Amino acid sequence: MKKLVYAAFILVSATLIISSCSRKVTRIDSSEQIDLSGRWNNTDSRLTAESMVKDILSSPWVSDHAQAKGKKPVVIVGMVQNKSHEHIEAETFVKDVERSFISSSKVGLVQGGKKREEMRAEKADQQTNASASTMKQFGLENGADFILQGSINSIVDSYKRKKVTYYQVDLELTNIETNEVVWIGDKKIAKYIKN
Amino acid sequence: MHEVNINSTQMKTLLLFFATVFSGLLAIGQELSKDQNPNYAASRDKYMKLADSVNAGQSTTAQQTYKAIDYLADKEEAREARKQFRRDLRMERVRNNYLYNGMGYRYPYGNGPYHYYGHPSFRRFNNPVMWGTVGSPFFWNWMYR
Repeated sequence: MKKLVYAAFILVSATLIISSCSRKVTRIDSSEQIDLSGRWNNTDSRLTAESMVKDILSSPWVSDHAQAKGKKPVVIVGMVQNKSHEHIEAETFVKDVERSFISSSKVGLVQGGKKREEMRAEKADQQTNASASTMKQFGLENGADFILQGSINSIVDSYKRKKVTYYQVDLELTNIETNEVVWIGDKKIAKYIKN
Repeated sequence: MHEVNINSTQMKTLLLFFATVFSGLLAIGQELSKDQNPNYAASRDKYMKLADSVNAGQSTTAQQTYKAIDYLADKEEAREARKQFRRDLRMERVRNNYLYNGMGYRYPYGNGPYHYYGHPSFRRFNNPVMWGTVGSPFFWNWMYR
């Protein structure tokens, strides 16, 4: 009987020790705000995206272009320069802006950079491998009317265990032909971090 | 009246020259849009060569980060550097196969803290990195008491 109690005790203890040491992962809603270190996180990216999407589609550049040219504007995404003190990937919020262009059907979007290279390489491959009726031709791509570029800047003010971090994300849309900036959107985020 | 004699070769050259000039002027006249800078070709030619390399950065984020002045982060960095230094020092000792006690060689002589190499003049107590490890005089005091 005594042995049985010992065995049960050891079993329970072992279970408790193992369960307390094991890693626990829980799925959370991507819109839930959880700040751990105070650095740039998914909440900042989401807030930036929401602000930019709301602003860019309600600005007059879309209707101005449609009125002047009789068709919807076509946008290409250029480079975003991260000049802040942290590694920030702009694609997380720029993609939301791109998605809003397509879902609104008010703005056309063309591929740029590496993806465009890949697309052209595929087209080149088709010239020798695809059937004549399905082969896509060169020189028929849509030319963009506007380019979306941006920058991320930050200011850090710290004293002992207190810190204020300020981020400013700017996105701007420029007319490729005239070099005229038709829209600038910005999102400012300030955080007070106490360690 | 002065007569100019032109042979057939010269005539051909002359005709070719005028044809080139006129076709050039015609082309410029056709290509120029309203209010377009007539020197646009200089810029176009320059950027035609650069386009591929410049456009490679499209849809990407150029990371041009800077190091912010951050009291806690700097402190943590200094602590890490100290840890790394101690780690390297230990590794170096193992590699050189000799026990460094902060005062010089100790083993295998075993003559106490005031062995020749353990003479106070050989002590490295002024190295703060060694304090708290075998380089500490308190450690060796405890060791031989």
